[in-house]
Amino acid sequence: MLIKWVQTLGLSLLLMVSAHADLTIEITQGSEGALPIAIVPFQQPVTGAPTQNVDQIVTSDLARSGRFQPLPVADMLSRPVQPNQVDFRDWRALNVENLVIGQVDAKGPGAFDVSFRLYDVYRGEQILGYTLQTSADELRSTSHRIADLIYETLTGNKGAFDTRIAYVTSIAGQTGKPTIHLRVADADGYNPSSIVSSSDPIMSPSWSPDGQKIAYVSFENGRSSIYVQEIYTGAREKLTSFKGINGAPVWSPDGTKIALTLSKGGNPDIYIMDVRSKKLTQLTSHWAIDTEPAWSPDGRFIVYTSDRGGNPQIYRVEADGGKAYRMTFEGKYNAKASYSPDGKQLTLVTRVGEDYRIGLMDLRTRDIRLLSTGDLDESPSFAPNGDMIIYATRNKNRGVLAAVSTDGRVEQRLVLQAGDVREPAWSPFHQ
Amino acid sequence: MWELIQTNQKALGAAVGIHLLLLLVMFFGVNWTDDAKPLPATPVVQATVVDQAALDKEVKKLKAAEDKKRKQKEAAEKKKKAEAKRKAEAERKAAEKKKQEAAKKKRLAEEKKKKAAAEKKRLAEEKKQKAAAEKQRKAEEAAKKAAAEKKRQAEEAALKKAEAEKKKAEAAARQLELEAQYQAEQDLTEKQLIMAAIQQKVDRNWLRPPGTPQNLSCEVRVRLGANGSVLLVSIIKSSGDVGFDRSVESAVSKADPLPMPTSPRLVSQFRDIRFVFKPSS
Repeated sequence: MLIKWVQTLGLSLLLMVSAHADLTIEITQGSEGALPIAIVPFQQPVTGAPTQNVDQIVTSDLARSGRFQPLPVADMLSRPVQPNQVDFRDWRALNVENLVIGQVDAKGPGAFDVSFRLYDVYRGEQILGYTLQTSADELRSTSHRIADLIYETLTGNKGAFDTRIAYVTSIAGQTGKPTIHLRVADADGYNPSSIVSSSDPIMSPSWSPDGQKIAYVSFENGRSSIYVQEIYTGAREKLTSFKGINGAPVWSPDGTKIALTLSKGGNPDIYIMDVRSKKLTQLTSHWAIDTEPAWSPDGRFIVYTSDRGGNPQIYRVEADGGKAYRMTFEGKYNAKASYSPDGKQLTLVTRVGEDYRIGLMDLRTRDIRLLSTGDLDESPSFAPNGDMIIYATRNKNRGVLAAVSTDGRVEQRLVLQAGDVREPAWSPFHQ
Repeated sequence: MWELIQTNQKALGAAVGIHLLLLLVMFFGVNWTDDAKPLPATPVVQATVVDQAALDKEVKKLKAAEDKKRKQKEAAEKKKKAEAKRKAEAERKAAEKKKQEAAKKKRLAEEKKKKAAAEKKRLAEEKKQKAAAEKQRKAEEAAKKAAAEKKRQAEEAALKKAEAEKKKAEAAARQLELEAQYQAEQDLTEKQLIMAAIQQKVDRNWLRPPGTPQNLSCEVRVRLGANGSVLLVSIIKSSGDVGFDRSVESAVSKADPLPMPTSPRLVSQFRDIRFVFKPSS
């Protein structure tokens, strides 16, 4: 009787266990890679079609991020526009995990509605769907916003496609003397426009945190000065024009201060200027060269390049002042450091043998991982979402811009115009 | 009989002793009778009276003499008679005694004979009784023994039967157990095979975002149809990284349908699976 009861109990326990203790299976292999996605060509209006192609802009944005692997249009088995035309089997057959369909509708002269839907192919469901009103001028920006929405939905990170970059380009003129331009373009390099042009060098553009202003160094009139210029109005203000070097301005995260390099004390040191009061505070004081300051995202620290140890290395100091703390020890050249938006990494230029490459330093482990493959790569700048870095590289003796995903997998040159391009700076998020 | 004597030596000795004693007593008893002599006749004394008194006395004396003589004569006669009588008596007595003795002897002999016969009879009887008793005892014993044997055999048989039944039951139980074990092993083997197949299929379909940190992990609970079709994928422990979590959900969805066991017993176990996605270096 007891045995039977025990057996029954055991059996029921077993049943209970089997009913509640799920089978657990560990998945540890898999593979890493870009997510296969299909962006079907959007249906264009019959008349008055825009010159820009939304789906192509979205496709190249996602591809450039390194996180997505768009399916070539030629490989598509079907090209649905409406939801009822979607047959997920077509896309599963191609191992595509996500599908984007959409259309552009003309809404009067130069006005458009752009609709798109994002599907999870294997779950067979729509996960995103919007209609955006736009104009012919804004169509690229709208396309970038669509890419941002898709990116954020699928990766969880905010997209940085609808942002801009500032850079300096030198364009040879007919007279032989080049003209230097400070330009602002979309993050993909399109829509460039000069905000300053000069026959003298322009250097070190830096975005204000609100994305409305750029600080830069100009050598116009034969000496270096630091200017702050409003992008849209063109109004500018000279911030410093001390004797010697006025260089490397960079905005504090709250936008109230600018860190910069001045040599008015004899040799280059880091100073901090209050933007409103113009009050200047010397942060470093060393016989060696201290330059290229950058703020930590919380505004507590400033990293900079100093050769006080015999060759250029990265040091850190509290923004309120204090003792300098050396951060890099690997190699004989580490310079132009800046913080990632999450404050956990630094991107910098590091010398490997005879080559200068873009590196990514983990602030916890202090390991530096190389992201670029050029021989004279410079001026790395994080995208505001931290997923990509833009930098300048040499191509056939000409400076061009390249972007690399922070995992180093995708490195892509930006489509840019003629000229020797240098010193890119990625803008904050569009506001 | 010999065994009996042997076992009863004391009793035999006693019996022999008693018999000897008896014989002695009888013998001496006869002698005692022979020793009893007859008593002698007592002489009678005559008194003489003188005169008248003497005469009388003489007469009386004569008379007395005569008397005496007569009397003597009588007495002699009497004595003779008595003697004869005594002799006759003695003879008679002797004869009688002889007769008696003979009779006695005869009686004794008869008695002895009788006694012997009786003894013999008694012995025979006793022997018979003993034999009977022995026989009965033996019979009883045999019966008892037989009964005991029968009982023992019955018990043994019952025991054997019980044992056999027990063995049979045990064998049956063992068989069941073996079958269950075999089934369990089969199930386990199949379970492991299917688990491995599922793992492989999901692994193959897992494409995680480039640059995924090694320390991320995500747990999902997956409900499956009986045919292995993925009915529901729900995240029970997020990695905190949307892209990673999505890659996990997609891996399961892409692996749809998942391999399922053929054994119906196992299918139920596979309808609710927990996956732990954890990239290993």
